[in-house]
Order: sequence, then structure tokens, then C-alpha cells
Amino acid sequence: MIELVDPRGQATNSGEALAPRVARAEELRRIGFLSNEPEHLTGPHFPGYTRVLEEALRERFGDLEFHREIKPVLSRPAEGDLIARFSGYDGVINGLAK
Amino acid sequence: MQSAFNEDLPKQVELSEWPELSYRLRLTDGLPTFPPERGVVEALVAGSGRAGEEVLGRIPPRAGVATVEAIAANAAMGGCLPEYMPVVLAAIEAVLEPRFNLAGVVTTTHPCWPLVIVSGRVVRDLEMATGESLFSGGGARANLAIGRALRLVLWNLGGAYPREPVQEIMGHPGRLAFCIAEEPSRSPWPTLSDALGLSDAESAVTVFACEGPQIANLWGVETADEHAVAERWLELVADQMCARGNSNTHTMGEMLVVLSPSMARRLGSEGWNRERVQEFLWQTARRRLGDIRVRADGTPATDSSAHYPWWPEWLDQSDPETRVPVTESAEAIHLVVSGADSIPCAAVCPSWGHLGGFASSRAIE
Repeated sequence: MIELVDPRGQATNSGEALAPRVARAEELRRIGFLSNEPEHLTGPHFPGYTRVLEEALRERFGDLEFHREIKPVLSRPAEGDLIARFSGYDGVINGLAK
Repeated sequence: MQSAFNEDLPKQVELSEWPELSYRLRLTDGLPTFPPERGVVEALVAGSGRAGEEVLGRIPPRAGVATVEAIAANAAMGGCLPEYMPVVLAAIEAVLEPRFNLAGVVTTTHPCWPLVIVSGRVVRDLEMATGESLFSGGGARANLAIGRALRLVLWNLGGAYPREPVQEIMGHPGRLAFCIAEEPSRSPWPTLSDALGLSDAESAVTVFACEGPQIANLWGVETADEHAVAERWLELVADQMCARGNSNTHTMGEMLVVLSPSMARRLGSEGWNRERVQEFLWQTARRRLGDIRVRADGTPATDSSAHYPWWPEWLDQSDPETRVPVTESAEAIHLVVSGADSIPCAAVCPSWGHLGGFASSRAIE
């Protein structure tokens, strides 16, 4: 027999919990949009897509509150203060148009 | 494929059970591995000269805690010897520099991966290969085992699994093991790590996230004029560097150029030093803006809506005749001398541009 050391290390918890999910989609009230890119005058861009999404969500779920943020550098994880501005939102939609 | 991260690793197994266990628990990227046996891991920790519980950081994207012991377990799987550990740890510390943006490098759609470049005395001490087949290990255990250790750390501690969440479109063969060494004796210039500010270090590691090597074959150059050969060769290299679909052509950032010893010696004998080569490549590896960005009708895209915001302000993006360099500065073209000391040749390694993976050097303690 050989004794093994787990190459995955110790399972750890970062201490951050996922935000509670709404039980039903109809309970959605506040939605965030996090764009990995700024708006362009030409070509597809995620901020433009979020406007389409906003309209579709309003049609389906009525009066919702929306909040938008744009990451300063698309390739880097969003900074903590940016993430904090989504606090209390029921969901955040993040993306990049290609 | 579902991650088996939550399934416990048995404390003890028969040696013959390891191969199938490693695949079932997804502890390997597909290549066979050695078992991370306690005694071997302890020897590797001892070889590092550091405490097993010392934490180097969290490995993205899963944020696994990179203790020296956990790194050693992956190094054991990759076939490392204890004396390789200082190199492995220095490479991991280098990729964990915030500027390197490891989370992005690992998960991006772009096929870049951290290339480990080893410099200095340790190259000889570890019998690293610097000759034929440079980018595929050169037949040396150290080259591949060190590259393998980094890969397995990012796999097992970082959870860098394809699709979940790695989005790399085409893949990169170097993801399996990507490590080269600078040839210490056949270069006319100081090492890359010297150029990056570690001239006091006896040995050093540089990591740089890049694509696989694209070879510049130095054909078609009239060599009758003995004094102009090297410059003509560099023109060929520059041409390879600024292909229209090249990542750096659009995103700048940094770029790596590996010169074979015979090519570098020729450059040196014709009076070229590292800085002059960098400057020449930077000035020559340029494309016309009107050929880089075009509209559907083929006309240059030069109005403000088409501007790349990451390009420097001194670059006139409104003029289709602007010659656009592949990096923001000459210093961002990194030169390494290595490979077989035979035919003059060069390899160009484009990068992830301005988005991350920038060259990061560490002294080997």
C-alpha cells in the first residue's frame, strides 16, 4: 500500500456565500447587468444586448429595477467595490458580445 | 464531464490502483501521472527548503490554496525531483503576481499558457535541455517535469478544466508542459531575466503567457553581403511577428522571440546587442492600420467608433497609413537565446496582448 497526498489540497471555503435565490422567477424585482465591454457605435456589444434583455424581462415580469456596470478591463475579475454595488439584487447577468 | 472534486481521495491505495483512480477522480488532464506518494511529497517539500504548510496563494479559477505540500503533490505526479522544487515554486509565485492575471490567462478563449523560462546556473545544475527540440522538452526530465508540475497545479488546485470554466477555443499543446531554458553559454547577450531586472540573481525563472512557437525560417536571404545578413534575417522575423490575424497585431501587449544560438551569435558578431535587436523588431514588425482594421466593404475602419481603446494615445488611429507596432514599446519584445546550435532560426510566440500574461521574473532561492 502507498499513502497519498491529495493534489487538490485542502478543501476550503472562501467564507463567501452565494446570494439567496428567489423561489420563483415571478419574485424577481432587481436585476443587475455586468458588461465585460463598453458600448460600441458599430458591431455587437453587451450593453446593447442588456437593453433588449431589459425590455424582454419587463414584458415578462413587469416593473423591475435594473442596475448596470461595465468592467474596466474585460479580462480581469470585477473588483470588489463593483461587485458590492450589486448587493441586494436578485440576479446579475454578465456577458461579452462577440 | 462533471468534476470529481468532491470525491475524497483514499488515504492509502495499492500502487496498481493509482492510474485508474487518478482518471476517475479527474486528478490528471489525461496524461498518466506518478502517484503523489507521501514519502515522495515529503522529499519534494524538503527539497524546496520551505515549510509544507506555507501558502503561496490561491490558484484561480477555483481558488485552491497552494501550500508547498499541495504543490509538491502535483510536482510528484509530474515526475519532479526535490531539486526542481525551487524552480517550480518560483514559477508559481511569478504567475500569482496580480499583473499576470492568471485567472484570465487560464480561462480565456485565447490559446495562451504560461511558458516557464529558466535562466542561469540552475539550467546546468538541473541538466535542463537547451538544444534540439527545445519547446518539447529536449529529452530532459527537468524541462518537462517542471512544466508538468505547473500544469497539474493549475489543474488540481485551480480547477482549470476545459469548458468548466476554461473557454480556450483551439487549445495549446504547451498546456501539457511548457518549459524551456535559456542557453547559458552560447549567447552573446545577458539572459532574459537579467534584462528584466534580475541581474543579481544567480538563477531565475520568467513566466510569460504565450501561444505556441511560430517558426521564422530564414530562407530567401542573399548572404553574399556579409555585413547585412543579420538585418535581413530580422526582417523575416519581424514579418512573422505582425501577421494580420496575430493577436499582438490587434492587442499589442508583449511578445517573445527565441533566437537560435547561431543566429544570435551572428547578430552579436555584426554588432547587434539585445536593445538594438528589440528596437529593430519593434520598428519593423508593423502593419498599416488600413490593413489591420477594415470594414465589410474593404475600406479602412479609422473613425472613432472603430478605435481600439487599449492602443496608446500616440498612435494615430484616424490615419490608415499609420504603421502599428505589435507591442507598445521595444522593451516589450522579449528575447531568449536557445535551441539547437545548428541552422540559424527563430521562433515567435505571440501573447494575450494587453490583457495579461505579462513577463514576470523571480529569482530562484
